[in-house]
Amino acid sequence: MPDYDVVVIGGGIGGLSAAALCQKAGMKTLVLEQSDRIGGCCSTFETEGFHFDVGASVVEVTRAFDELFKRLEMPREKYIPLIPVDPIYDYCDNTRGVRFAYPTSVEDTARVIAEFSPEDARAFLKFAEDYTPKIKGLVDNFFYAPSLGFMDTIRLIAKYPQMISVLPMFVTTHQKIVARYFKNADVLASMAFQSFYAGLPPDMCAGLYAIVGLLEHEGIYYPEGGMIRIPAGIQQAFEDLGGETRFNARAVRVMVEGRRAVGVELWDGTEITARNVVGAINAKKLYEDMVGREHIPWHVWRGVRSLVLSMPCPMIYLGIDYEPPLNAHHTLTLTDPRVMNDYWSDYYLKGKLYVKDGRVEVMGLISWASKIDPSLAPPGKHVLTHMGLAPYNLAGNDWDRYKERYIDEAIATIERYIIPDLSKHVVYRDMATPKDLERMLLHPGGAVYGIQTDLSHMAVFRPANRSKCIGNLYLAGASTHPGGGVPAVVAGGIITGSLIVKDNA
Amino acid sequence: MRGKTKAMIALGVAGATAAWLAMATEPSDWRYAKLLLTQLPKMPFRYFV
Repeated sequence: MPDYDVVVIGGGIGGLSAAALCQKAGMKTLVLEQSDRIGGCCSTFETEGFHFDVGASVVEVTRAFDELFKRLEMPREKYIPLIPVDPIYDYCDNTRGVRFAYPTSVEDTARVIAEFSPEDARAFLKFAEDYTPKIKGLVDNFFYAPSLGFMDTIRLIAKYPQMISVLPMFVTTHQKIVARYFKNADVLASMAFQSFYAGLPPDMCAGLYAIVGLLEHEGIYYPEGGMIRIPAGIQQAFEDLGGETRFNARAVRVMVEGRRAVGVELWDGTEITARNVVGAINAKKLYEDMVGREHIPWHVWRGVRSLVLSMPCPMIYLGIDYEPPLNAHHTLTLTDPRVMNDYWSDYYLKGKLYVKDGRVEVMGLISWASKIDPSLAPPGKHVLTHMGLAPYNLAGNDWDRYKERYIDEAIATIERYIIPDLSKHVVYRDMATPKDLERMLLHPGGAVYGIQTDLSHMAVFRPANRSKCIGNLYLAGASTHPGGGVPAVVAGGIITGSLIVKDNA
Repeated sequence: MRGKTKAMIALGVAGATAAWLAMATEPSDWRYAKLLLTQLPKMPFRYFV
């Protein structure tokens, strides 16, 4: 008799969500986490009294959590207390004297835009009017529906016929959609940069992601105690239901017999047998390293090998000794969409960092988590994290050697555009390079969003939540359907958990 | 459904997508179109992952 009904490899939010649903259905479930910390990329670590979020810095579309806890019949508020974050972004460029913030309210945001572009303010209201109904339909249907094959797509359209009106968004680009509405360069940039949340520049990202700039106006939230509160809350719910979590338990192999997963082997040789195995890690790593070529038919192997990893997001962690002159949880400097697009071909694909006026500029998103939750830093001090975009392989250099210089360049960039004199206030500094993210979180290529999110890697072309070549093997996490980002990964966990429960009923 | 039938359906969908793209793509979308066109031959295989 197998040791467990379900073994989940990876204690990220996708694996935990699937595990909790299986445990709720009465299946004896074990979660294996390779590190001593839960959550993977959606987590928080402590050092010298500062609490830094590993990667994810905020959460939107809380409906995904509400849906999970509704299915668990447990109160979400008890397990994951969320604090509203308003304004959503503060855009700042001291070199041009530009600064404005978008509040949560759509109408108030239109008023902010109207101060410098009345035409774009009207366009923003029109954008909201056109796409808000599509967002609701997409989130409530596409997000929680499995996409194992074409029949699922047909079922989805039958259940939600309006999906047909959304399909063109898959084949057009993010840039094309927002450019139809916005003319002012700053407003256009403020609606275009979200494509990088899918790891692609605006003119290469599926148009579907154009709704993110609007989706954020449904409200963004930060969990009390840091982003780790999200996986910790789901883990607590899972354990309250009787589930078991094992830390420092690194799985190295999915045991396969006759094309069916029968368990997991750990790094120390321990074998754990199970009726069902969930790989809540990068799908490419799962198939290539843990399942192995010998168990995978040639055509599936070819598909696995063809998967393109998403763009890495190096993270910089700064502890500072004063309250920074920022106005919001998230601050960034807007970049012309043409520059965002050219960055891909002129820099990223060539392994280069972005250079302007002869110096490296490290553009990215600054998160000031201790503004929302002061307990994340010692009294009088604050934490800042900076999420950038950079290639995994640096041309002519190596991340381990370049790391300190990159932090210097990032601080210098922030000083130029947003926080003058920042360097005088830094009392702690560190970063997670793409190679560190690969080593710490086992994300191949440092790809925190898993697999690239273009049309050729979406829905039925994204690794399926139920393996199509190995029986009893399931997938969860950013590299499976519906994709990366906190709410999507939780939604994917719901799909996976529901499939396991249904298949074992 | 047999593997060959599935592969034919996947190829058909990939072909239809290519045709749709060819009709819907404007010159400004060339980079996205290029990305998708280079990925199209791989999509039938990805369908089975």
